[in-house]
Amino acid sequence: MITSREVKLEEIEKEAKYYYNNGYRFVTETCLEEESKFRIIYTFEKGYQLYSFHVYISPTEEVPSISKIYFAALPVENEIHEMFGVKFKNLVLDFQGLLFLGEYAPISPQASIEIMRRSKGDKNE
Amino acid sequence: MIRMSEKSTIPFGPQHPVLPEPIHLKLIIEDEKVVEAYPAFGFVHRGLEMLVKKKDFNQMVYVVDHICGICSAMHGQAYCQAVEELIGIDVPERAKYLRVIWAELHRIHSHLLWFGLLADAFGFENLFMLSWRIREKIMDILEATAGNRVIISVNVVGGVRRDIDSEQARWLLDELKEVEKSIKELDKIMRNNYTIKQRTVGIGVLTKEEAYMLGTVGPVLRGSGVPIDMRTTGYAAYKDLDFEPIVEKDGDTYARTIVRVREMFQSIDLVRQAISKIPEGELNVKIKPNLPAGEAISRVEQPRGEVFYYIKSNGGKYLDRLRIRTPTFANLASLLHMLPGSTLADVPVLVLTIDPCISCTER
Amino acid sequence: MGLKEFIEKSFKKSPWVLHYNCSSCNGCDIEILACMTPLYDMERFGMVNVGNPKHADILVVTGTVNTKNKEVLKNIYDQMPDPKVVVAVGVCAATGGVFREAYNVLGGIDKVIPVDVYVPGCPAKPEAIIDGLYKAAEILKEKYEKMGKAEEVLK
Ligand code: SF4
Repeated sequence: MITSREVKLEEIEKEAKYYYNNGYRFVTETCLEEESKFRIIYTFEKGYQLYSFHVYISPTEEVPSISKIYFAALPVENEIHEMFGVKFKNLVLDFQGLLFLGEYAPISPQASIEIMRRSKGDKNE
Repeated sequence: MIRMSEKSTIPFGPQHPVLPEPIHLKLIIEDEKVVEAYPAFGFVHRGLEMLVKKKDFNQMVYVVDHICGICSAMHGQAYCQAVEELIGIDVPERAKYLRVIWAELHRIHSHLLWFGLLADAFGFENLFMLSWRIREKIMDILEATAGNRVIISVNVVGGVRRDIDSEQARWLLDELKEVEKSIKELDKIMRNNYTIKQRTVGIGVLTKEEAYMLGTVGPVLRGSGVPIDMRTTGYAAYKDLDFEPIVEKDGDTYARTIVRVREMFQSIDLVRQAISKIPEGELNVKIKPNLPAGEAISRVEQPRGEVFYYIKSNGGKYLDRLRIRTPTFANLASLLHMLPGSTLADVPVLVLTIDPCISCTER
Repeated sequence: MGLKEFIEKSFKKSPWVLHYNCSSCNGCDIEILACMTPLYDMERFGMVNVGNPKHADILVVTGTVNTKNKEVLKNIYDQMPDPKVVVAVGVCAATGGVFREAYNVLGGIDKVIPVDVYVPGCPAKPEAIIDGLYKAAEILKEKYEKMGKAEEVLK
């Protein structure tokens, strides 16, 4: 069973910094779709113990990326952007939704709410 | 003449001889040095996490077994443990021990496979053949005990499907003795060979702090001196077995190689311990056809590191969400960290040093 | 032996194999690699594993086609010189197998390129793979002879 506490959207970076400065390892972010909202769970680890917090966002909101703080969050956030269409601000390296899916793949395939359109153009950078 | 800084872009993959799996890297090269590296994946992406909507939770065991052919038993184990935690049942002791035995056999064969590929990456084909020949013995054991060579699908929710009887266990131990002898030889080659040292010592160094904060897992992390091994949390039968995480200090490719070779001996030892301690009893327990609502997490140490399963159910036969964070996905950040600054010739070795499993990563 | 006969003979006796992993689970790939190692030793049939599509006569494909790699697969197939034979290894390559219903999977590789030999199994056993490759070598021989006849007619 996991325990996680809810934080506000603006507090994500502050929380992540707190975890970083206190020597927690980044484990992963998990995105869930709950009643036309997205819930993103951030999970950290220290001494085999997991610590999590989560945010609820509406599909149009932008989430501040923590990839500047935890570099390991980069592929995870790109994946969530790609699979669910959630937008992230200030990603260190933005794959623009082409990390896993090709140009002909379904768009945000893991979400039933469609919020993203793929802009044609640059392939992978 | 004005010397311009010559930057050129070299694509690496997707189809290339070093790795059997397609990974694509776009390398920006300046004077033989890599300055930037951009990975591009997606050649193996299938979208397995979404199959939970179409297959019920029992059928999903078979699907997660096919995430990756190398550590399939551990994927099944991690998934089953998560579902078992969600339902709140306890697996019979014998099943726990059997899970350990098969998981450790998988670890040995995976490390041997990796060792061969590494040798092949720097052109030591002889060693590649040697380690794959040793690996065939493990494949024989798997085939004899579980019925298939690569994907054995022994786990079910609530236990395991097959048994290893005492006669088979005796034969297994005999085979393992020979495997151990051959791995000792491999160990000797690895510690004394000039070529291997030239190509691995000091390549791809990660300091202890870097490895820790980049969220790396498995032998990459332990090769940098951080003793984190999920098995010490005591899932399955590991709580009754005696072992220590294997750690090396140097943090380069050579240290990781040593970690993996030492882990093979450790795995052999664990199989022996498990066989000597295995209790009699049932193989699996009956489960109800419907799941309770809730969430569960399970973490299992795979050959490449820790795998993280998150499941969520709203009740009913089908899970609502399955999220898998595979070890290679966690190690990607460290690969992207190591590549800039290396020479072009070292790129295959660097890619292999994290033991990438692309079909895990992309699912 | 003239040059033509020499080429003909070596062509029949020693086909070169190219392996491409579409989106397989690795299970079939490691079995193909196992075929090259001492225990199974594919090379005793003269088959050599190569990395360049332009050198290859037989294309061995594992795994299903997804939306991204279908172009790559087609590309590799087009680059191979005629005559060429395609072997689909594993149920994934034949029909899509376990992954058939996943959203990013199109199905078997015969949706993209023509396939000559199907090797069933999940994963296919090394013995089965070797058998499939041997069949492929025979088909290659036939195709080669047909091509020769066509050339003579055209002359
Ligand atoms: S046929 Fe089976 S073993 Fe082979 S790639 Fe497909 S799922 Fe993996």
